[in-house]
Amino acid sequence: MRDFVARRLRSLALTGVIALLPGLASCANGPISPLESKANASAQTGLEAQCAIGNRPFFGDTHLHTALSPDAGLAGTKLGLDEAYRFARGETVTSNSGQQAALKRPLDFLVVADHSENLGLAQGLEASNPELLKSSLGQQLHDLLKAGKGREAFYLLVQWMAKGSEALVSNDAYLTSVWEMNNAVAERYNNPGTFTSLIGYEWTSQPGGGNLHRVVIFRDDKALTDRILPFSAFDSEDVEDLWAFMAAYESQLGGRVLAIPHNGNLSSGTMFLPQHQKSRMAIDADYARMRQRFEPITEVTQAKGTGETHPLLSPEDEFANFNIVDNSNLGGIKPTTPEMIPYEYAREALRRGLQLEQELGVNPFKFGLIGSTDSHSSLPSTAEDNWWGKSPALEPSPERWKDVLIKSSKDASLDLTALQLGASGLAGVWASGNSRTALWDAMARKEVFGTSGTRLTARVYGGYDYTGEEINSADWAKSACAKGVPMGGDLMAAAEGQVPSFLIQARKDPDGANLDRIQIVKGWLDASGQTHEQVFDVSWSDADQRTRGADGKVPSVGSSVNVREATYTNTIGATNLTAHWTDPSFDPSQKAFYYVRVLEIPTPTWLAYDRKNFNLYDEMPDKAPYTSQERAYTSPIWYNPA
Amino acid sequence: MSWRERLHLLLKEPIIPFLMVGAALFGLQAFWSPGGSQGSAEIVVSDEQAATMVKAFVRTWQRPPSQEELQRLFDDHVRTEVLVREAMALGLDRNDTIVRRRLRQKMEFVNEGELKLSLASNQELQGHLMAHADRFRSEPLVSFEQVFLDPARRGDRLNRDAAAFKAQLNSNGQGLNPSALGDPLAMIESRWSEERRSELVAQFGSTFTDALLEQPRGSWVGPIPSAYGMHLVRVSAVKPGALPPLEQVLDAVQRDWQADQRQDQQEELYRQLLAKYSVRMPQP
Repeated sequence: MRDFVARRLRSLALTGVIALLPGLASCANGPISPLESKANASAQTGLEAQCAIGNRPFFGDTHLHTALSPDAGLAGTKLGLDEAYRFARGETVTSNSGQQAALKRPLDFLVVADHSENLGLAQGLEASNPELLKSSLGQQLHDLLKAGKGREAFYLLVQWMAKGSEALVSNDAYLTSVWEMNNAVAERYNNPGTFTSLIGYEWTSQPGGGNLHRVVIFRDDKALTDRILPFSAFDSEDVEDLWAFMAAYESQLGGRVLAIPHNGNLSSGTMFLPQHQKSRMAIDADYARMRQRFEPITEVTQAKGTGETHPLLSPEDEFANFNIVDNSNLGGIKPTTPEMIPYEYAREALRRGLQLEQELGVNPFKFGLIGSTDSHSSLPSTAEDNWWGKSPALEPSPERWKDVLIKSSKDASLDLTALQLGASGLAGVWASGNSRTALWDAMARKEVFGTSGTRLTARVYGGYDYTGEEINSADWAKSACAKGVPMGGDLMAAAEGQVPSFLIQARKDPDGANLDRIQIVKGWLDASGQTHEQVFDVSWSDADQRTRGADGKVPSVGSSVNVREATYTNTIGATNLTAHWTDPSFDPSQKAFYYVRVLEIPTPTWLAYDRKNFNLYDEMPDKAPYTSQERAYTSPIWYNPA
Repeated sequence: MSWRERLHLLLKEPIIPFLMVGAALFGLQAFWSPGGSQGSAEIVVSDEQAATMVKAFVRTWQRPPSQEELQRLFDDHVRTEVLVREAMALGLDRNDTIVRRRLRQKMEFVNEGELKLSLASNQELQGHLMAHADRFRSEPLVSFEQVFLDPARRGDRLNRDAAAFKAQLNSNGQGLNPSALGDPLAMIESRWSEERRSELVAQFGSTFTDALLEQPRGSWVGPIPSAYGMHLVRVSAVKPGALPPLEQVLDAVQRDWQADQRQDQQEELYRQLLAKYSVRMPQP
C-alpha cells in the first residue's frame, strides 16, 4: 500500500487497521467486471439506475471554487461556502466586488470543488483557526487581530506567505478542520428534492503547467467523507495514485467516488495521452480499467475553453471552432503545438478509445460529457447577460474585458485573457430524483449532458427496435428506454439485419434562444484500425426552407443578433426539435459511438452585453467574440460489435 | 501596447494556479512595502526574496533554476520594482480603477477578519423571520393541465383552433384526453400536480407562470403564451405559499441573520473609518 494513500484514509490509520492495507493495492488494481459494477449500482438504487424516466434533467455545477481555494482566496475572493450555496439556491448575495448578485433561476445542485492543495489557507488565517495558531506565527497573527490591528496582521500574513505556504497547511489537523467544515456546510444546504450539495474537491495536478486536474465527487454523506482527507497533488501528481486512493476509499469504507477531468485544452497534450505519467510507457489494460471505472464523465466546456473538439481535428465540422482556448498550457508556460492537440480534446479521445479497446480489451476513454463553470468567485453563473465572471476581477465592471486571468511568465501571447473566456458551462443530469445518490448514480452511468451555460434540454435513446412513432407520445422516454439504452449506454452487437436508430428530443431554454439544429456526431473504427468521424444534421428548424446543400449539410440558420445593441429575437429557429435517426452507414462489425449535439441560434455573448451596458464602443475592439451559438452535448451511446 | 496598458499588466496580480501564489504574493509584498513609494534609489534582492523565487520556480518546473534562469528571475523582479516605483512616483496608481478596486477589496478583506459573528437567540431569530417573511415564505404549489399549440405548426389558424379546442374541452370535460388535442412539446408533460412555482418558471418561463397563477380555477382557459408558444390551461388548485414556523427554517434564518450581521458590521467599520475624514461633494 502506498503510504500517502493510507495517510488520507484517516479513520483506518487512526483505528490501527493500517496493517490490513497492504493487500489493498492489489485488490484495487484487480479487474472490475462491468457486470459486478452494474449489479452493485442496481442493488443500491433499484431499476431506476438503468434509466431515469423523469421528464426533466437537473441542472447544476460540478466545479465551483470558493475563498477556501488558495488561488481564489488570495486573489480577492471573499465569498465562502455559505455564499456559494446561497447563490446557487437562488438567493441574492453581495459579490466580492460589493455588487448584489443573484441567478435568474436557481441551480438544482452544486459541487463545491475547492483545491485540496493548501485548502483553506486564506480562510483559516482570517478566522484565526486554533490549529493554525499553534505556530508562533499563527499566534502573532491572532494577537494582532484581537488587538484590532487587522491591517498589520495582513501585512505579516502576506510576508509569511511569500516565504512559501505549504508549511502550515500541510498540518493535517488544520486540513482536517477545513475539510470537515466543508462537509458540514455541504450537509447544511443539502435539501433532497429541492437542492442537492454533493461533497467534493479538486485534485490539482499540473506537472510543468499541464492541466491534469480532476474534480473528485463523493456519493456519500459527511459521516463517510469525514473519515478521509482529500488526496492532493502534494500527495502525488500521478493520476494513477489518485485512482488508488479512490479504490481504497471504496473498498475500505464502502463509499463511492468518481473523478471528472477538465481543461484538456490546457494540458500540453497530456490529458488523453495513452501513457503512464511516470514511466511514459504505453498504457495497459489495468490503466484502462481504472480510468474507465473512476472517470465516467469529462467536463468538456467551462469558462477557460471548450474541449469537445478542435478545428484541426475536425476540419469537416463547421461548428468545431467554438470557444477554443489553446495557446498554451495552464501556467502559460509551454506553447501548444499541433502535435499536442490530438491528446487534448474529447471527441478525439473517444475515437482513440475505440482503438485502444481493440488493442487492450478495455476502453480507457469511455466517458460521458458535461459542462461546469470552474468559477473561482463562489458565484456559479453562466448566463451571458448575468455572468458574474470567473474571479473577483471578472465580476461585472467596465474594465473586466481587459483583465488577464492567467499571466504567462514567459510571453504575453500565452496570457489567458478575459476576451477568450466564455460564460460556460452547466451539467444536465437525467437522474431519477434530486438527491446525492440519484445524481451521482446518473453521473456514474453517464446519463448526463453538458451545455455552454444555456438550460436547453437534450435527450437521446438508441436501440434496434424503434419505429419512430415512440417520439410522439408524451411518455416516449419510457418506451424508448424499454426498447433501448439512454445516453451513456451500450448497444450490444446487432443481430443479422439490425441497424441502430436513435430517438432524440431537444427543447430550448425557456429563458433563452430558439434551436438551430440537432446533430449526431458519430465516431468509428474501421477494419484497418483507423478511426473516423462524421457529423450528421438530423433535425433542424424551418426544414421546408432550409434544405441540405450539395455537401449534405444544412445551411446556416442565419442570425437575428444586433451586436451593437446586444439583442436577438427568436424570429428564427425552433422552440423544440425531435428526431428519429437511423445510421445510414452502419457496419455491424465496426466499433462506434454516437453523441448528440444541439445548437442554438446565434446570441450575444457577455462581451457584447458589457460593451452595450457599459457603453464601451470606443474602447472595446471592433472584432471580438460578440456572438456565439450556444450548445449542448450529450454523452455518447457506444456500439459494441460481437 | 501603450505605456499605460503595460503598467496595467504589471500591476495586476493574475489569478494563477496555487503553485504560483508564492511568486504573486511576492509582487504583492513589493507593492505594499512602505519603501516602495518613497522613491528610494536602492533596490536590494534579499537572500530571503531570492529563496522565495527559487522555491516558486521549483514548484512550477519541478527542478531548481539554472544560474541563467535565476539571473532572469532577479532581473525581472528588479524590472518590476523599478517600474512600479516609477509608476507610483508618477501617481499612476492613484487614478487607476483596477488598482483602487483591489485596494478597496483588500481593505474589506482586512475588515472582514475583525467581524465578531455570534449566534442569534431564538427570540432574535423569530423577530428576523417576521421582519423578513418574504425571504422564508414557501412557494405556491400549482396543479393544472395544459394543451400546447405550436405557432410554427398552426400559424394563423392558432386562435381559431384554440377557441374550438377550448369549447370542446369545457363541454366534454372528462371524456377527452387533452394531450391528444394539442401539439407535441418535447419533454413537457400535460398534467402537473402540486408543482413549485420556481419549477414551473424553470420549465415554462416566468411569463407563462405568472399568467397561470392569475387564471380562474376549474375550467379550460387561454391560450396564454410561454417561451414555446400558446397553451390552453385548466388550473385545478393553487396552494398559496405560507410562512413556516421557526423550527422548520431555523438554519436558514440563522444564516440569513448572520449574513445581515456581517453586512451591518462591515458597514459600521466603514462608518468608523469615514469618521476620520471630512467629506465635501457637489449636490447631486
